[in-house]
Parts: sequence; C-alpha cells; structure tokens
Amino acid sequence: MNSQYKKGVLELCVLALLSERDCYGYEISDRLSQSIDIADGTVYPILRKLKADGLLTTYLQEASGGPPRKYYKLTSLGAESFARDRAEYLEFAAAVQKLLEADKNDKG
Amino acid sequence: MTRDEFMGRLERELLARKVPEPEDILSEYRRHFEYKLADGYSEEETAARLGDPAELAAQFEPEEVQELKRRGGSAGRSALTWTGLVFADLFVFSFLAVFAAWVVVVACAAVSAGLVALCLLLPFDMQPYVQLPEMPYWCGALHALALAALTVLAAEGCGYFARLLAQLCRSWARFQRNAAAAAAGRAVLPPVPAWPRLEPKRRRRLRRVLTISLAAFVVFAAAAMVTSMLTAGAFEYWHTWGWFM
Repeated sequence: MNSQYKKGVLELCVLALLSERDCYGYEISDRLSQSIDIADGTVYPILRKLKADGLLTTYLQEASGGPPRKYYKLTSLGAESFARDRAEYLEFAAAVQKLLEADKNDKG
Repeated sequence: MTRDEFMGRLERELLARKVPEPEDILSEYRRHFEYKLADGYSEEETAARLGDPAELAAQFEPEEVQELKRRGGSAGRSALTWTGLVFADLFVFSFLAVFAAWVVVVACAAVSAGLVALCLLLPFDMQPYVQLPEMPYWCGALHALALAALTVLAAEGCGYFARLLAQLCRSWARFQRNAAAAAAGRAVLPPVPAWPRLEPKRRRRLRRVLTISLAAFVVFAAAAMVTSMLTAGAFEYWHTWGWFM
C-alpha cells in the first residue's frame, strides 16, 4: 500500500483511539499493533505530527509506581477533524468494498 | 539489537536529521522499552518490533523537509540554473537599463513641457534667457495650456513607469532567488507580481487624472492651432510668423 496513504489511515486510527479516552504513548502503540500489523515504533512519529498539527495536546499524570506518564488528548480541532475524516473514510471504504465485491462476483 | 544499541542508533539518526526536541522523542522510546520489558518481552524482540531506527527517525522529519528531499536539489542542477540565470541577466539587465532611460526621458519631457508652458504664460519679455518663437499672447496662452496638460500627463506617466520599473526589479530578483533555491532544494518564497499593485482608490484617481489631462491636451492643442491659423490668416501660421527663419 502507498505509504503516504497508509500514514493517513494510521493517523485516523490514532484519532479514533483517542476519541474514546485519553491514552499514553505506549498504550496507543500497544492497542494499535494488536489490530494492525505495523512496526510498534511508527506510532510515535504519528503522535508527534498530530500534536504539531494541533490535533492533540499532552499532559503529564502521576502513575502508581513509576514516573509520570505523558497522556495524549484530542483538542477540539482534533475532534472536529476526526469526525470529518471518519465520515469521509467510511464513505470511501464502503464504495471501495462495493466495487471490489462486484468485481469478484463477475469473475465467480 | 539491544535496547542501548537501538537507542544509540535512534539518537544518532535524529541528530543527523536535525529533528527538533530529540530528547522528548527518545524518552518515548525509552518508556516503550520499559513497558515491554515489564511485560516480559526481551530487549531484542522489542527492538525488532519497533522497526528500523533510521526509518523511524526519517518519519520524525517535518513533512516540508521530506518533500524537499524527495524533489532533491543537487550541485549540478544548481550550477546549471545559475548559468542560465546569468545569461538571462544579460538580457534582463539591458532591458531594465533601457527602461530606466525611458523613465528619465519621460521625466525630462515633463520638466521641459512645464518650463515652456510657464514661459509662454508669463507676460514679460525673457528674450536673452529664453528663446521662444514670436506669437500673439492668446495663441501662446493656449499653447501653454496644452503644454501644461502634457506636463501633468508626462509626470503621471513618469511616476507610473518608475513604479513599474521598481516592481519589475523586485519581481525578477524574487524569481532569481526562487530558481536558485529550488535548484538547491531549499524552500521557495511566493512570487512577486510584475505589475505594480495599486489600491483601487489610487488606481481610479490615476485613471481620472490621465483621462482629464489627455483630453485637456487634445482640446487645448487643437484650440491653439486653430486660433493661430485664424490669427495669422494662413494654414501654415508658423511660416507667416517666421518661426523657422
């Protein structure tokens, strides 16, 4: 898959996880790599980019038995952007699926 | 790859790429190792799952930098661009010099038309200093009014051409800078338009002055000639008054 495209989709996935609740970096990496086959390290550049774009903010929170964790949180801009991109992606994915399945039926 | 090897490589790559705030990034990966090790994974396994440090570091580069690298600037392209620009300069600078001369010519026309109009209007004899052909005062006054209109026209033209010249120089300088920057793979600034940007109000005023002075020039010049012909009683009044003797 085109790497630019994949990056865009991964950004959308990160926003989806954060729209449920605030997470720290490792948590996002862990949850994402459970469902999608990507290198664990790729999540951190995405988090940084989203933060630079103003879609995320970070805050530190004390963790039991360890140094404080850096939590990521959606900004209002991030929430807005997620809602829009999510709708766009779902529409696009549905269209693609329809097309691919029609193709398969023709051959079969 | 052990944790220290991974972290060392990542740090080197980040520094080599001049990624801002490398310490912040490194601490995220350090934490990642801590969590994984606590979950019972080995350092090697964790490092392998994280991916190649060089590739990760590349992903931290801001997108504009990545874009520039993709387009790529090179010394060869840079040299070629500069050669082209120097040759183009030969023509552009000649043109700009000629244009500057034109601005001076129009300025001289404005000044001389203005002076002649003044001398024609002032009703006393300036014979030793000013050599103007003999003519009845009212014919002279009409000629003077035509010349005054021409003065305004030329002065406005001179102002506009000077402004255009300055804008052309700026536009060319920006083009040159951008061409060199693009060839070297550096960032490009927005281009500067070649035509002067006047505010609408100012443009309207300029156009009004232009129209009025042009109309005044035509009307007064025609009136001056007709009056002179009638006064002299001949079509070629300049011969009657012996202007070119």
